[in-house]
Amino acid sequence: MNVDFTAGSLLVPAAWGLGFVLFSALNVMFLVWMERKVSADIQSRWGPMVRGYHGSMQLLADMVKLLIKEDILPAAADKKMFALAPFLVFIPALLALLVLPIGPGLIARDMGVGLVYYLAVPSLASIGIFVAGWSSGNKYSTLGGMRSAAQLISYEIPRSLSVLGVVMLAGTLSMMGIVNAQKSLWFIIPQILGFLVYYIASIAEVGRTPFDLPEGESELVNGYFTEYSGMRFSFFMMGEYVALLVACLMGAVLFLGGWRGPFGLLPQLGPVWLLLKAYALVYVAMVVRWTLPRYRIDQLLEISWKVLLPISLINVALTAAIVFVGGEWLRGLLG
Amino acid sequence: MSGPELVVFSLLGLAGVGSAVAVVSGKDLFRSTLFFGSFLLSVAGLYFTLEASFVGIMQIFVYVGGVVVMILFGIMLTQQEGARLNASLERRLTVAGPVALLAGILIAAIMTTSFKTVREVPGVDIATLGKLFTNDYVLPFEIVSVLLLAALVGAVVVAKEREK
Repeated sequence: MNVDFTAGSLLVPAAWGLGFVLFSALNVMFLVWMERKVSADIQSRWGPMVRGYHGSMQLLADMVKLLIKEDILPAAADKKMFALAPFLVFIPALLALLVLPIGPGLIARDMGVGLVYYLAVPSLASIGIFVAGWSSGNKYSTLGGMRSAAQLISYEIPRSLSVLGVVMLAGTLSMMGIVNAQKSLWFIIPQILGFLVYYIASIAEVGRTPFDLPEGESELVNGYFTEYSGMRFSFFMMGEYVALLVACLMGAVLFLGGWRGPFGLLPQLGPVWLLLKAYALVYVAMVVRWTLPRYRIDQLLEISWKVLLPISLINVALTAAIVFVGGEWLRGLLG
Repeated sequence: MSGPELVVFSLLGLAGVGSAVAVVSGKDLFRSTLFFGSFLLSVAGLYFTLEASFVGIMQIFVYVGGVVVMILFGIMLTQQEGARLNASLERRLTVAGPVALLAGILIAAIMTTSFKTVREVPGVDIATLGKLFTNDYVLPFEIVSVLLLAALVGAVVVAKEREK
């Protein structure tokens, strides 16, 4: 490592960091508005319409409301850890952006082990969830925290296995290398099984309906963030939306060709293509959320261990066999 | 290691030692576990500064994402919220004595051993690592896999028996 402490070299990481924060904040605002509109559409309503064009300024109003709310610290809470938890949930999701290839040659850090980094770092949010649940001093919070962490862990396994096929086809763990390997064929076609497992497991890891048991209001009030309010609560919400966006962005990178346009169309639009693909995945996740009812905890774990895990293992074995037998032919196909 | 690198390295080392002390001196099991996590993260940082990024990420993946979460589960299933650890002085001394002795022996051994030191080792990329695992070191690799499988099967057996 060559750490360089001159002003210029510190400027670049600082700019990336600032960019990530701004990017997340803007996208969360848009995602919340989109969620409201999609849910309204599915329930034959209009959704927010008053503030701004079709209610687009609604979230600004909500933010102001959250900011001026009283900051409540429950009497039974472990105050320091209670205050720390929202950041522990939010930061890992943000850190994942470090290895996101945005455009040709445009990436904050093209690590040789970028994909492993992406699998390892965002899942640290489970520790933040634990801390939130435990420090609240509330049995529903603790139960919700435990459920959430159990869910995160059990879905991490199929998710990690589901991207192995991509690694085998691309022959690299670098995120940039994976995008480059999809020049002529997006991996969603040869890796459709892997994609489905990745997508379902990602939705479950983010904790959205039908996998939102950690905050199942009919059983657990509001799960691990029951005691949170005001800005602290909004950090959890932001963390959840950033995690959803990151999962979809990475899904687009791993399976949908990243910043490549379909059929090589308009390559100069790079980052726009990436965002469009990610938002297509986000839209499907939102439709799923507002269409399907919540699973029971035993069903949730069964889906992970008895359905997704075997499918991803089959996918790994199949891909390995194909790469082993038809390596040359495959390389020709992938260009 | 040049100046700035040394600064980062020392800061990470200090963070590691600080969290390690916090782990053993704290009275709250939950907080101790979190400090243990931050200790492991600083060690991962040390790996990064030594150009072993794969080892660093695996450290985060396995230890912080796996072991720490496992311990947290254990605490949540067995402890009461707000419970404090109070061991008697006598009990502490019986533990501290052997541990101090062991640490003394270890430190003495490390100080007196003449390690072969290499000034700078270039970082090994993951492809080389993978090839080594599946060629030169395939037997140890497989033995470890069998061991893990045995642990997995054992865990299932233990869980099954308890249901009866």
